[in-house]
Amino acid sequence: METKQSPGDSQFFLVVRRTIRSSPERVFEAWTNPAQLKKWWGPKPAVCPEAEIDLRVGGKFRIGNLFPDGSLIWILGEFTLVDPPRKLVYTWRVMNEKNDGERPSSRNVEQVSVTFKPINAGETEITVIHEKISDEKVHSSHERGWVSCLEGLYEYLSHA
Amino acid sequence: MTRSARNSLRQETQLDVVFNALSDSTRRKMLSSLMRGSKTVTELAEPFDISLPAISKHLKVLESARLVERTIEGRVHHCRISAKPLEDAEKWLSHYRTFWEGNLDALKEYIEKSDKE
Repeated sequence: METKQSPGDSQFFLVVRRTIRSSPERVFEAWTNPAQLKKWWGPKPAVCPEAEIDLRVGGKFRIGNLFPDGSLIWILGEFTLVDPPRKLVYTWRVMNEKNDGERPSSRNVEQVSVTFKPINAGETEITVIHEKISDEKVHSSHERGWVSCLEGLYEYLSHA
Repeated sequence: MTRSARNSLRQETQLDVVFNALSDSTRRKMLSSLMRGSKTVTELAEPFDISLPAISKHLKVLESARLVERTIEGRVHHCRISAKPLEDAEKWLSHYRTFWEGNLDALKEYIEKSDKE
């Protein structure tokens, strides 16, 4: 089952990659097993105190992000594609504790795709594509073509 | 709807307007020109082979996207680029770039260290 969205449909997206000296299976497991995820998740200084992952299409996840000042942010979402150990696609929204129970704006849709690619001998290239997508399919064909990484746009506007 | 949800929605709509404004090559060229310094409408229209009313229309789209600001001095209309709307998108990109760079560094460290033990 392929995801409906592709980078061509998003307002903008970013791509981050790393090479990890381990197998795709190992990296995939670290990403999807809550007990392991809690051990590494959280760009400093945040740590992950709690994670729940229902790893299947339609399954939901939530990942806690605890900051030194005591504030707790939840990342929530649902899996749209689960292809172990190669690929994951899921929706993504962020909620702080005060917003508990609030329904997200239907226009504010984000999607994360993670691929785990075996490279060289015993290494994995992990690629994260994080997209900001609007629900409304009002994009004209040249808007769809205008996949804008805005770092590039500033560059373009200053040199055109 | 709560205030924060209303603000979110307003920001999303504004981003749609910005991307629509940027989807036209004449408007992008007008923005490039303004990045090099503010211009009167006449100065802005000069390099283009299209009518002044057509330029005016493009300018209005850029203004409603808040990419361009206009000040009027007597009969002269001065236009300058306004970076504010692009800042929202820039903020999102830079926030998540930092977020994922840090997160993947942590993942790499966790896996490579634990595999050694």
